[in-house]
Amino acid sequence: MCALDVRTADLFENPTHRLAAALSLDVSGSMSGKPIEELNRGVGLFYRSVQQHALARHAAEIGVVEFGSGARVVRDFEPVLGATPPQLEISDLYAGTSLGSGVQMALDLLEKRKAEYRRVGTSYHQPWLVIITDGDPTDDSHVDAASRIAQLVDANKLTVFPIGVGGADMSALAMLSPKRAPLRLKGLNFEALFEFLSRSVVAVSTSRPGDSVALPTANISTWAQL
Amino acid sequence: MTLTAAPTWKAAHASVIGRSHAQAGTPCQDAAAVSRGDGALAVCVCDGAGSAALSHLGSRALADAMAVHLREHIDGLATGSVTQESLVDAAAQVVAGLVVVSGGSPLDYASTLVGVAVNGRHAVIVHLGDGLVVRVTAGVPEVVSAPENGEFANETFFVTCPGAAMHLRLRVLELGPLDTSFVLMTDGAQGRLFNRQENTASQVTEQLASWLDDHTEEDVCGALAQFINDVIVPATFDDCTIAVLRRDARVARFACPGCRRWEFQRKAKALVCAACGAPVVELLSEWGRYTAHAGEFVHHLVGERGWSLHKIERATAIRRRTLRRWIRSSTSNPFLERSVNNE
Repeated sequence: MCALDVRTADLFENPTHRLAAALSLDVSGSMSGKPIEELNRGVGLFYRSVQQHALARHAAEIGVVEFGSGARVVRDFEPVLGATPPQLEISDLYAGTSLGSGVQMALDLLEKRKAEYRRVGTSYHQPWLVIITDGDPTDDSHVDAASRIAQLVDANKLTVFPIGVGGADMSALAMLSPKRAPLRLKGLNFEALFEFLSRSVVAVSTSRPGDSVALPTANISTWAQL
Repeated sequence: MTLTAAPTWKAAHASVIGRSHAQAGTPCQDAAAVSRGDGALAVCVCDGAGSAALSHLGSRALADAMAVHLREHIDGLATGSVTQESLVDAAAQVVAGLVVVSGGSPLDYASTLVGVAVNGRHAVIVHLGDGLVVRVTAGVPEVVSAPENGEFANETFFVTCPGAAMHLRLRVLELGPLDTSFVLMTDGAQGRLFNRQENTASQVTEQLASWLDDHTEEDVCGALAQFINDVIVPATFDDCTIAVLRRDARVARFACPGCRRWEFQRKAKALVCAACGAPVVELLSEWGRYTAHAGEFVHHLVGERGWSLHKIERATAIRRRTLRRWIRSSTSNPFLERSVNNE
């Protein structure tokens, strides 16, 4: 009689389904002082709370783009597990707010990451784009970015979280999010925002085929308004 | 009654609720069923959609009904007279019946479908959505139907989707003499048993199926549930189902009792498994007595490899007198008959 057991050495370990989240963050002069400090604290909290979840920390990959008058990749996509959060600084080089450049660069980064997933056969969830800005765009780059986002969102290929801080131009943000109305942060409550985002990462990364993922939107009104 | 030979197949299956549903107190949305009769056997496993409210009823009813449907129509499926469209129609009728009894709309019963029907000559694979079918030939597992997902990990296809017939994959395989097992599973069980990048199946699939050689179907059902609980559930949040089909043990040649591969090699005068390196002589004896595998293995060496008894004695330390007794005692072994005919 052979025993009712198996050789565990013959089992596979598969990579977890990935969730790529791109953060496109405003570091123009108007963010200096308290806002950038709170933003850094929020991003740090995001990394840490995702790292604490048993599954989400293997699933989530975060990429960070900053923008002012131009845009720059702060962090290419990397697994959140073992990553340290970036410290964003206000750059004197960035005199304006080129919202569209930041968005375009984040979308390019996402496309590149998805291509890498496909090349190595890793499955992935619908990727995210989180946009945080506090001012009026100083150019029209967001118009092109808006049509690119509209195509992706219509084809169900992207989830956008547009967030306005202080006196942000909400109509420009609304153009970038055809389905979801942009949120205006109450004060500088970045902590609550990133708490919400990390809970949403958990919700998506533990979803199963055929699930419609419900984001934890219950307490949004305590830290943001539509 | 069909003209095909009586089925020499055994089957077992188990579904275990995943951590998500266990924590939420919601039912397991996986289901599996076996249907036997008229010289054929069919197994179906179904994974109800998480977003569909009544998919636990959908997967249960579809597994039961489609197992019977596949078995009854195996000849038509094998010859091509039963089409994808008619299978989707049959599934739609099951769902329509559920709507009458339990209410809701057909979409509330969304479920994937993975089925295998076998008779003496053919295996018919029916597959819609994710999940997996593995065929084992000569101890080596091969993915014969891979999961179909959308671009994203949480997208797949269901029998209730519009255009389901386009996504239903139908495959007819001619059974070869070395095909020993089929293994079906739902998406949740793929984590440890399916290598997504290489599109390969774990050797463990054959190890699970081979349990049916020595144990009853009931015992293997229980052991499968235990295996899923211990090994698969910790690696996923999803419900998990595994079903195994195994041809009569006489068809299989001797396999390494550890990893169930069929290849052996000589290393330092002793025989070892070429895949896992286990020393065969140690695996052949249990509590100082030779296991049933020892006899099969000797038949394999004589019949398939043409080894002399002297050579076997040197490699296995089993005495020639014992070897002769084993060979005399089971002339029903098909491989031994072949070797006798060759001489």
